[in-house]
Amino acid sequence: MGKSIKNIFTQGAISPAFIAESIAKHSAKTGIGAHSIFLGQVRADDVDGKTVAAIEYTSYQEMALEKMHKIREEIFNKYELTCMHIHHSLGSVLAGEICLFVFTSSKHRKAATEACNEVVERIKAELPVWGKELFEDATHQWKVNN
Amino acid sequence: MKVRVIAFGQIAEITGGELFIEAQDTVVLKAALQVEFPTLADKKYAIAVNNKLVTEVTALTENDVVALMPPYSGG
Repeated sequence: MGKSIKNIFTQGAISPAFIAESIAKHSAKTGIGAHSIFLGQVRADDVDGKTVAAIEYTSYQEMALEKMHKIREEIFNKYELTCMHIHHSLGSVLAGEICLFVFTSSKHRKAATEACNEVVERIKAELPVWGKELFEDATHQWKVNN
Repeated sequence: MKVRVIAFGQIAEITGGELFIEAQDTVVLKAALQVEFPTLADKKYAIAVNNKLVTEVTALTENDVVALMPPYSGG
């Protein structure tokens, strides 16, 4: 039986305190020997003399959460993970703030690091989420993932 | 068939929030959208019907939700 669909979205930036707390919560799970963490940070890109001040994220939430659920199940089938936590920002996130937090844990390091990398790549390629890069002069352009 | 059309990202800037359009399949729908919004012609977007991506001609039924989605740029 599949697990229920989890919400991965958070309004605004993901705070370093929240990330620290998430790590601390795992001290009770003593079967874990390795954590892998990916943090996406909004970059103040320079485009034709203008600087990105923030990214405003929107999503087709229903579809994104269904897709994330599927990715989660596939990752758990592929790797020997103890647990996995994913948080993605919606709304406005300032340059320098955290917009994506992927956290995988396993008995040995290889599963955690490989799963973490794969999840990040799949989030960027497969989740219906869009980033609007807001410049300091209030103009904008749509983010493009490489 | 009247379907509900929603759009995201750059495509939403062209079509606005939500539309109701008569179309029996996704090809007819795309053509109707292009007549109403000529600038859509040179935009890249995928289509999802009731939360599922479709790449081939897909028949539509009353009250289907059709999403117009430009390339993803999350993370």
